[in-house]
Amino acid sequence: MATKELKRSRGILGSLTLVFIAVGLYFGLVKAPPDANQGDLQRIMYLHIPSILTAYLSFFIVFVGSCMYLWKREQRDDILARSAAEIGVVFTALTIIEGSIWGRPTWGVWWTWDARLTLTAILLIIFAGYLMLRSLIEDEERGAVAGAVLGIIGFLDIPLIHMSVYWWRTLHQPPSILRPDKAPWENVHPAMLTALALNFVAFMLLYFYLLSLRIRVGESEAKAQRAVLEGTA
Amino acid sequence: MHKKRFLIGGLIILAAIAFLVSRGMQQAMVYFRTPSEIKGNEAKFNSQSLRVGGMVVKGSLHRNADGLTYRFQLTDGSANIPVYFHGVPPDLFGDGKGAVVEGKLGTDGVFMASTIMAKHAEEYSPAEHGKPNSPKAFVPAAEEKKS
Repeated sequence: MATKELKRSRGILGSLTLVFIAVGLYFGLVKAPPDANQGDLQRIMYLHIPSILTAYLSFFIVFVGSCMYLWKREQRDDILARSAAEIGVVFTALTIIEGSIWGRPTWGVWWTWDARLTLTAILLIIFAGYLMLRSLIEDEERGAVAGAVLGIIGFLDIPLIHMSVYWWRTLHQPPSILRPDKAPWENVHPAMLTALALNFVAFMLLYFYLLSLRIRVGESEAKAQRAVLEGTA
Repeated sequence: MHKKRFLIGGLIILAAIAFLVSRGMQQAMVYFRTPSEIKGNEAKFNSQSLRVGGMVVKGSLHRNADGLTYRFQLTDGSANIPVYFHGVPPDLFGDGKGAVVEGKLGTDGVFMASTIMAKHAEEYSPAEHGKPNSPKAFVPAAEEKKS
């Protein structure tokens, strides 16, 4: 595709992201009513849920990219997986930080080792390990294969995180949105759900904007490396 | 030869991680005990660190004049455990609310809590639709079906 065209569509995506972040902030901070029990604290949810869903999506992309790489051995699948892993780590860390800030005044503790929190910490460690592994192995192809295997294993933690609150005793409450037995608006008041949905869209746009930028960096790196190899050969 | 050593080393590290994770998860899986599990088995739990989860029995919450000493009963519907706590509980803690307490079971059967955590429900609504925020179930449905 023409670079100019790609650049322009990325610019449009970026502007749209800014608009939705502004709208999301307005709905989250002003339009949505404070919660009956938690007051304004509950507004952290408008970041916390979109953050973890973005991380889930990101690691799903790592999973798909990794499977594709192991199957076809095409570099672009590896670039996709590695880019998504990097952004996924950021959003997982954000989720944990936001959750901590919410947990201290609500639960009474910044952190506790219940199944859901422990499994989320493991997710962060696995993919931080993934990034370390990738930077440590110099041989591109070996690094890509090792990364793909770890990326697939790491993704399997996500269903465990989601189901943890159903399978084990936890301090963390069950899901409000992603559940088969109840509609989201039965748990979350519609005015709050609107703010949550808008912020979710903002996060998705931001995610794909960041991902497209990170893939571009990965492509440039690969190109530069090829040039060096051809130059020395 | 080199590759083989690398593989064995990697497997040992992986096994070690798996062992640690499974040990940690066993702890996390029984994150708290219920009053029913403790009642009648007090000797088994005596003076070991543990967590107990349940609802604060309505009307059982007493706060001393110093404002920092709390006494209440935790229930799971079929058994009650008396709890003593000295400190500052979270804002959402209260009569009839869900809580997980950390501490030790005394020989007199009173649970000496060092930390109180409020268990929150997955429901959110503005004040005019306000529902009492209390978790519907402490033990997941999947576990109840098994037993």
